[in-house]
Amino acid sequence: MGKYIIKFFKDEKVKYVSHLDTVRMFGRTMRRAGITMSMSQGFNPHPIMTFANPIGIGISSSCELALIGVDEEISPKDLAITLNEHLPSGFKVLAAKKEFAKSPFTSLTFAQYKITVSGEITDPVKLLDMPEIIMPKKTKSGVKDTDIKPFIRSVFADGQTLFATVRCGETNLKPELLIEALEKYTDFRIDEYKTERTALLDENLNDLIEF
Amino acid sequence: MNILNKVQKAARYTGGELNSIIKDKNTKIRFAFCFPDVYEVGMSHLGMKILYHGLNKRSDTWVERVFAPWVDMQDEMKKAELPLYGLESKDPIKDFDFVGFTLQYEMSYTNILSMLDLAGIPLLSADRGEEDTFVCMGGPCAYNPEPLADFCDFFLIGEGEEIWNEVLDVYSKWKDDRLSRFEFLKQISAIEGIYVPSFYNVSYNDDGTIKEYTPKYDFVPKTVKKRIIENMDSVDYPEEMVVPFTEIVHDRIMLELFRGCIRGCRFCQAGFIYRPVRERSTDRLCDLACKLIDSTGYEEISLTSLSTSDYTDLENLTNRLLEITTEKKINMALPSLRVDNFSAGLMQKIQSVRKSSLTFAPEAGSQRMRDVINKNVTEEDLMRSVSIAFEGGWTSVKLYFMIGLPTETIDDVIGIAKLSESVADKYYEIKKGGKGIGRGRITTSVSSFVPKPFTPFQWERQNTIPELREKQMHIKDNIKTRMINYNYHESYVSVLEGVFSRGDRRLSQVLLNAHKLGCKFDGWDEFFDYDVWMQAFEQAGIDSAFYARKRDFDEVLPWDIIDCGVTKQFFINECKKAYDEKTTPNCREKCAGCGLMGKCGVKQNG
Repeated sequence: MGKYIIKFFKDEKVKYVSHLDTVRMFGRTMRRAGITMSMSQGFNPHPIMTFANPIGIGISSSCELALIGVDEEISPKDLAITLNEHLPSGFKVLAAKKEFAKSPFTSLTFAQYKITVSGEITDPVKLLDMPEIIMPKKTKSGVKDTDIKPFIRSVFADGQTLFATVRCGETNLKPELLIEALEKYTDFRIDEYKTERTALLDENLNDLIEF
Repeated sequence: MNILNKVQKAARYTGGELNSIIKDKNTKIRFAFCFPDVYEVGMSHLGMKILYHGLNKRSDTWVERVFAPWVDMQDEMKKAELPLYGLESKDPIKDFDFVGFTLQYEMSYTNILSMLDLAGIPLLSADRGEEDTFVCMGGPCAYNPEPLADFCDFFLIGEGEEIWNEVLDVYSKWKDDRLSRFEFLKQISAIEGIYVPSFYNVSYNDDGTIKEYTPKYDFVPKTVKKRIIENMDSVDYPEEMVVPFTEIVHDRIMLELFRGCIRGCRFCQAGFIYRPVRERSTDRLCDLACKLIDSTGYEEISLTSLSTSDYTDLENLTNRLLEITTEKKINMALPSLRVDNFSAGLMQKIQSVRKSSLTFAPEAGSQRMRDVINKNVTEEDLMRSVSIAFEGGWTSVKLYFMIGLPTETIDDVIGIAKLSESVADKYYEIKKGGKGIGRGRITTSVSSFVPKPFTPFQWERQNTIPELREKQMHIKDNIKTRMINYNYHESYVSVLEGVFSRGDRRLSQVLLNAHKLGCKFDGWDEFFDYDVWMQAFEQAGIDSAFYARKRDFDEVLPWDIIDCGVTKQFFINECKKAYDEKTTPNCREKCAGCGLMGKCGVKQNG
């Protein structure tokens, strides 16, 4: 009974499955698994399920977090095992625990991304030497030229792989925009890249949820 | 495949959904089941689900799914030189043994050519060589296969479950024996339901009508008989269905109660080609429902059939299913209800949490017109049904009508507006003084009648665009109440649909021209371009009006090569009865003698 947080991964094969489709997929998986979900009250009841942060289409992840309401007695371990028996290939629950806080995801501040690049790359840290990094950023009121430097906590390269820690949550930086900024402000010449989200962190760069 | 980053809804193109089937790439027979429309539409198609899961039970065959890529994806695929692939293996379908298309709608024909083109398969059957795949087609529009004759190596007429197994058995042996392409077509032409268009010559009269079909070889049948499944309980039905990640048009379990229809509405092709009526038993349906609920996790189950409320054991079936669905918190949907047997009890069963809209199809506005089309419902039936709905809390009702029907007068047309007004009056009468009375909404949707092969109206003249437009405007002028939302469509598409539904094989050239002129997704408003189509006709030297004309009963029809089981004499009799405004009772009341006696599962009352 109660709420559980699960951490799951979403691999390359299913990275084009949108956030809403992932929510629906979990609902159906719970049904197949025979686990009764808590339903919202109201005109059009739906399963209670909250995600820490919707992930962009085309990005795989090893650190997605979701809060699920369950209407029956089940241990976190059994919940994870049962879900894994019924999830479509490409999704897997890595950990689960009971949660008592009402909104456990509010302190989300940063996300880490691992971006594998083909093309010419230079030291990405140079980007942060710029006094400001003006990029067209989508906001509620349309696309606006915005200085995204404050949204980048760190970025470094190891071979052809970039590791970036950027703002996530209320203030959010999409990894695509970071790549575009690297092309605009440094000597990056990128043919292709793929992105994986590797961690969701709080303001002190600790894991948002400890398991 | 990084082009997926450049297109909308990339999850359409990745496969990997729950219950999709992955096999060894060395499986002997590779089969691409193609639906010539986008993923969301094609994945909603029951026939594909049945054949996909049924034929994949064979260890020698791997059936994969292929849909028409949306235009953005088509452009990217061409740029990247990525040929059309099967969703499961991602292998190019041009290397498959079979590329099969299901024909659900005439306006998807150009998409077949786009897909063949993207796949790198020669468009014309005559251009395919010994190494090429076999392109085949089936589905409801295959009952008049002729407009696609030049592109298709063989057609499968009728229900696919059994015939496909026979074709695959022949193919498996043929592949071992390494015989010629011709030899394979020759061998399968002996299977009932297989039509090989290149095995026939067609000659024409001076006035452009067909003189005769002549088989080129003595082993070819004179007419091709449709295939039907005799026992619905013993035939395969999927116990799993692929559950898409992305939302599709019919995103729910589809439980097929029965095939065929007892009604005999004279405009309705489905009502004749799917005859005779054959029902699944309640036990079998409940068993399938449980298995499908467990294997898919879907939140809704839909009882599908041409006229669901005509299922003999409906009361018992819905009661038993309700026990299952209530426990599992699943919605039950009952589409295709009729106004003459809609009851408060039935309504309560489908009363899910949401009171969504209810749809009724009176089809015509006047009793005279409804008698002509043999709809066999009355204004009282409709009023009773909408009263039950309004009293039961529904505020929204959709009404479907047609214009352009045979013998139609302006009074019949205005009747559509009048009937809609009466429904609105009924609403106000029932809801008077009630809360939320302003929420009421009546949607009157009017489509244009298209004469179809294998119906009593197959000889009828189709209305012209100006005639249809005038009728549409008459309805508009006669609707006064604001709560009625009147929907109608420009009739250009209907007119073309009519041409291809009753066309002959000379139209293959028009399709080829249209494809070369860039026509695709013609069923989608944003792509359909009537002027380009007219150009395609002009280039072929064909007048589209030729196919809209009235035909004589003794004219050789392009689809006379197919035998759908219902006799031509029956259609003639029905057509004459229509002119006399006489109705024919439904099959349960009295056998009308359509020609399928003996194979029919209907028991007459009393």
